[in-house]
Amino acid sequence: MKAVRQSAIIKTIGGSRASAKPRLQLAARIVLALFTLICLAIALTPVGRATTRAAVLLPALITGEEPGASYALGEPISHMSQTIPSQDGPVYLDIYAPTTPAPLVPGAREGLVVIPGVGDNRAVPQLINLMQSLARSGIVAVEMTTDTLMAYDMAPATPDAAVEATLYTQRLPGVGARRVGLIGFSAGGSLACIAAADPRIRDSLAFVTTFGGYFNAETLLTDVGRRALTADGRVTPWPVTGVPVQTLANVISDALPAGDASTLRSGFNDDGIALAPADIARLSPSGQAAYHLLAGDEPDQVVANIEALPPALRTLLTALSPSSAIAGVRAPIYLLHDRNDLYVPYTESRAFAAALTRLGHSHNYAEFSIFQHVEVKSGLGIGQLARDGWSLFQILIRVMEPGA
Amino acid sequence: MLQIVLVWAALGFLIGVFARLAGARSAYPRGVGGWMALARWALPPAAAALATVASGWLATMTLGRLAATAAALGVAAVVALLVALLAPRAPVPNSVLTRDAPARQTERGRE
Repeated sequence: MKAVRQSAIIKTIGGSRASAKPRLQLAARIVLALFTLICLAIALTPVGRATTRAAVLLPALITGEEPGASYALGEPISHMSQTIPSQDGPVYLDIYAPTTPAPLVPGAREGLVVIPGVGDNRAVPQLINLMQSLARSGIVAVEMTTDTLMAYDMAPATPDAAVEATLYTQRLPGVGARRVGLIGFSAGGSLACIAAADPRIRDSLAFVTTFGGYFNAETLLTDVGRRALTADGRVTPWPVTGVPVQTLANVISDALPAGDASTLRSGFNDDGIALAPADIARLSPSGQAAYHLLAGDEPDQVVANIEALPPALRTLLTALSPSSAIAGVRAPIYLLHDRNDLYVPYTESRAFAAALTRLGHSHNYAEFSIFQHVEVKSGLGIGQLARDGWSLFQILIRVMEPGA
Repeated sequence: MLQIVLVWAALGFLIGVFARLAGARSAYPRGVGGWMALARWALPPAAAALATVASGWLATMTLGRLAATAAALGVAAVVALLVALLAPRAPVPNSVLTRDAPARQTERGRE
């Protein structure tokens, strides 16, 4: 009798343990089965592969550093420099590419031509980290610049450099000719859009991405002249910083008389505005109009000053504007802009998106607050990172799709 | 290549450790201690790690490294799940068996 009672106690204890254990086992088995399905979907579907690449690249974009996952799981890469000719003079290419052969699926690698904007950005750590992360994720990433861009200037021939860089990338071994996209930062984004309309590449280009670019050089000059921008019907102050003013001064100088050009070029530089009243007085009427627009000292005269610019200059501004080229672009366009951009107002990308909507052109537009112009801010909150990171992730997936 | 193999092995091992929750048991005999006990504990994770490395290496040539890693982890999870589903049930404590079970059930006995 005693033995039977003891057996019952043991059975009761064993029974409660036994009922908990199968539940745990069942839950773990379900987790394993789901994990298997997710992993196989990631590996075997193009969207899954694009999502994986985007997930590995995202930390590189929002931290400005090459993430450990990219380094540990990514492809071994190489870097080489190359110079090719263009109508804008030599194009300096920095090519970051995986050293392993292109995988059998999808059969060819994606190529990405990166235009980092004005100035010589080739040694900027954030850019190098981005290029290396792109290459480790299996993309042949080609960064391009020209002497014009490095001199904080743009010319009507500069988009040709982007076209030549794209054609060069399309011919690289292992790269799929129809899997090459263009991404431009700041003024580079606008050049990318103009290049995308070129008949030599417009039908083969996979996508165009512009980050912090302008849509219309004349409206940009108007905002610079007013030191204000209009958004949602409200005019807000916009304290534009030195680099865009210096670049606009250089661009404008290309279409002004030689005397005005040298005065404006030397007057707007890294240190700000360095022109004496006597220098300004010596400028021609159109030169003075350009000066006041750049200096922002006649915000109420902006329209009159724009109209006082020589026709050749207004033609140049039109030629350097994506607004004059979008009708010829076939590739989908992805627009990204910092809401608090002090270099190019975000209203430019809003106007760009609105124009694409009117045209029925495939596009995506996202505004962020985690960047300052095109560089990552430091000390960001988790909520801000999560919100903007998700928007960025969705566009990154689209950018990664051609190579998936 | 060595770096990614080590990463795959580590991730596969973790999946194998998790698979023990799902019921995966090694067929190594119970009742041994020391290194043998450690080896018995580590056998399913080691099998999952091996599956990850092997499938990752094969998939790299087909899919590229990132997708291959996902594929390899998927394969490791499948292996772990199969081990969990097909593994022999652990021996029931003697104290219960001697009272209630008609015969001692061992892995050998059920064969």
